[in-house]
Amino acid sequence: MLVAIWGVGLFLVCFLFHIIMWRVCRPKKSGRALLVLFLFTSIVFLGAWSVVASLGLLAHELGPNGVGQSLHVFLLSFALMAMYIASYPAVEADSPTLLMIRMIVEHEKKGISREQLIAAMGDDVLVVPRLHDLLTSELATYESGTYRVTPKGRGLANLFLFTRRVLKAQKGG
Amino acid sequence: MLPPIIGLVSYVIIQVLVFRTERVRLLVSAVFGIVCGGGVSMFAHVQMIGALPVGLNQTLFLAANMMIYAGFAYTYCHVLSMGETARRVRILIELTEAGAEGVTEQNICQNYGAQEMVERRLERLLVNEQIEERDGKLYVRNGIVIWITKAIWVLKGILALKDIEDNMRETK
Repeated sequence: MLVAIWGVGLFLVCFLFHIIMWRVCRPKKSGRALLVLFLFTSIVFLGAWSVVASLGLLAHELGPNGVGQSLHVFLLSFALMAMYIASYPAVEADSPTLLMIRMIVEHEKKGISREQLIAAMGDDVLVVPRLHDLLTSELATYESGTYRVTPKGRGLANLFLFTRRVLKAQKGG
Repeated sequence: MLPPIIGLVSYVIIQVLVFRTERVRLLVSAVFGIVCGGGVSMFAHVQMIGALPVGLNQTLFLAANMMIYAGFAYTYCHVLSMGETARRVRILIELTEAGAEGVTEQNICQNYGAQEMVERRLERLLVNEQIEERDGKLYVRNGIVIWITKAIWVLKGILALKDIEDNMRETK
């Protein structure tokens, strides 16, 4: 029971810190910041608990007992974090699919045509902001009107190309 | 701790093998893999405990392991989906293929412009029966999609992120 309650609780505490931090000052490299924030908070909380429990300040039955149980709690909160961090770009980066759904919902009575959808979403809304994201994340550079991939960006692209090859899938997008 | 990891490994292997048969779409292979991996994870849990869970404590212990499995399985599914749909990944691949020469903004928009993006996504939404087309007009077919969209608007508000319409107004 402890693992489930502590794991979910730890995730919620991290999530609360995330909301506060984002409302006060949102970091530019948000993915990395989220990961660091979540890992740091979990480790500090579990470490603090082990100190409190070992000093006998609180009954040790109230929290994870020993390294094995602490690792189990960490794994659960980390799984929930991974799920959130994976979904976060869709929240931050204006997913075109969600925008399309939103426009279709807004025109629910009369319906909306493909042409109207395409006209509402141009390159300046869907492509250019993502190019800027690549520069901010240091995955690409921009020089004399040309975008070039950085070694870090090449590594990431190769990782995705590898998974596409394993799956025998075509180029995505 | 081991059952969710065993379940996850099974999920990845099953999903890759099923998708490589080229008989099913990525989404179908992902869902099939998640269900099979979940079954393996639950089976491994019961085998390690030696009995079916009885009482609140044991049920919550199983729930914790299943949540770990679900969290990592969802993340894997999302990584698969990123390779399939993410704009940044697609542009990054275009830049990698261009090599040292690089690509201009105009070229990127020609190779992978907004029109292609919207059309690809429309096809996916239609094939997955999340929207439907009647008399040349599009309508939402699946209520879950609306709820996901609304949940993301709410989360954007909580995190004080700019709404997409604000971004569109700024860029236009």
